[in-house]
Amino acid sequence: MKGLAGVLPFPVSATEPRVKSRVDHRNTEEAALVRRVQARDELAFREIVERYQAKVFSIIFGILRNHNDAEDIAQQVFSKIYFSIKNFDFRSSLLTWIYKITVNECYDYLRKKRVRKLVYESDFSEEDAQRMQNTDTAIDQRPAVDTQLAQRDLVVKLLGKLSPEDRSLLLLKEVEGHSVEELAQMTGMNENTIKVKLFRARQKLVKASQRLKRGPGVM
Amino acid sequence: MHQQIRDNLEEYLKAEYLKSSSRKVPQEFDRHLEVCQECASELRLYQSQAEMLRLLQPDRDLDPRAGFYARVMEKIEQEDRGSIWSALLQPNFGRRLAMASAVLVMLLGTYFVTSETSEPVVASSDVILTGAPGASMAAVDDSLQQQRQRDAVLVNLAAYHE
Repeated sequence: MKGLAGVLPFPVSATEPRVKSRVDHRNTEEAALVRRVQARDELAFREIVERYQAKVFSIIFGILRNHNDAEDIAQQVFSKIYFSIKNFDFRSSLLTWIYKITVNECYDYLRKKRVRKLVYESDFSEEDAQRMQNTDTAIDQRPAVDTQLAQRDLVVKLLGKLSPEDRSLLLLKEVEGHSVEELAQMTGMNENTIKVKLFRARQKLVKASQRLKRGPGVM
Repeated sequence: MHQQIRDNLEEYLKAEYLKSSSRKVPQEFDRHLEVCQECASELRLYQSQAEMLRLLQPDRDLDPRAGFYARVMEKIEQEDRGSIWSALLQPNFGRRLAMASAVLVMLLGTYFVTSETSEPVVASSDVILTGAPGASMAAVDDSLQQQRQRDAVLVNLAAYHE
């Protein structure tokens, strides 16, 4: 949930009543900003870039763990937003839309570059590497770090087997920490639909994992 | 997975992640898990899957280097320029361009054909011949003179050869 402050409403707590009413994404301050961008107002576009750039960078870095790639992909994301915002239909929140574009761009990048061992090429600085080599505790932790990196690699690969919508929903739920109610508000779908979609996405992920374990020939 | 587990799956995973004591999962959920091994093992699978997904959480906040907006606008300009040329490669545009070219060729062809046939008619018009007798007589004199000059050249050539 890091980096979301000021972008999204604070998560609904257990003591608060559940928000059942749908959010009308047409009549928000954000919608007014989008309309200005649709009318080719560059100042409004600049505001969108400044408002969401940190979020976009975090999403990309979460998936790719490479700062240089994050810059290139973030540029591509905002360029895509600029050219396709005229088609934004206000059915979901702007953040949900941007989130989807960002995750798709990451997967397009992975597909194009055919990055197989992306996690091992993460941008550890020289300093980090030195620290890991020189510290006894770091040596002890190395297998755990390797396992975590391998798991990250695996989960990125498995998510690539899902549809863009399933992928975004799962990431919004587990990585961004949104509740079902929040997802319903953000996407304009009802809570039951979100639950069903999330369950199916989880099932697909399990099946993809089982196929991967059976061997590459089965994939 | 049975319905009562499926219905409360998201709540359960969230509560487990937050280690929340005040989870909103009904008692039947726990009771069912105690008796249904299938649901219990599937639930463990989804729990470990959720933990793996959380590995994608960025461990630090990232901000782009200064001048990011300028670089974005530069990219947009590049893509905009590129899109003008790529428009030419679009099948619809290409088809229209081919049609327009074909029509243009037909129009030009028609123009040349009609202009070539109309000129001799104008040149050999009786109206011109009859409307300017002096000019036609001069033209006849010129051609006679040219004929005479050609004959003289031929005679000279023949005499030189001999």
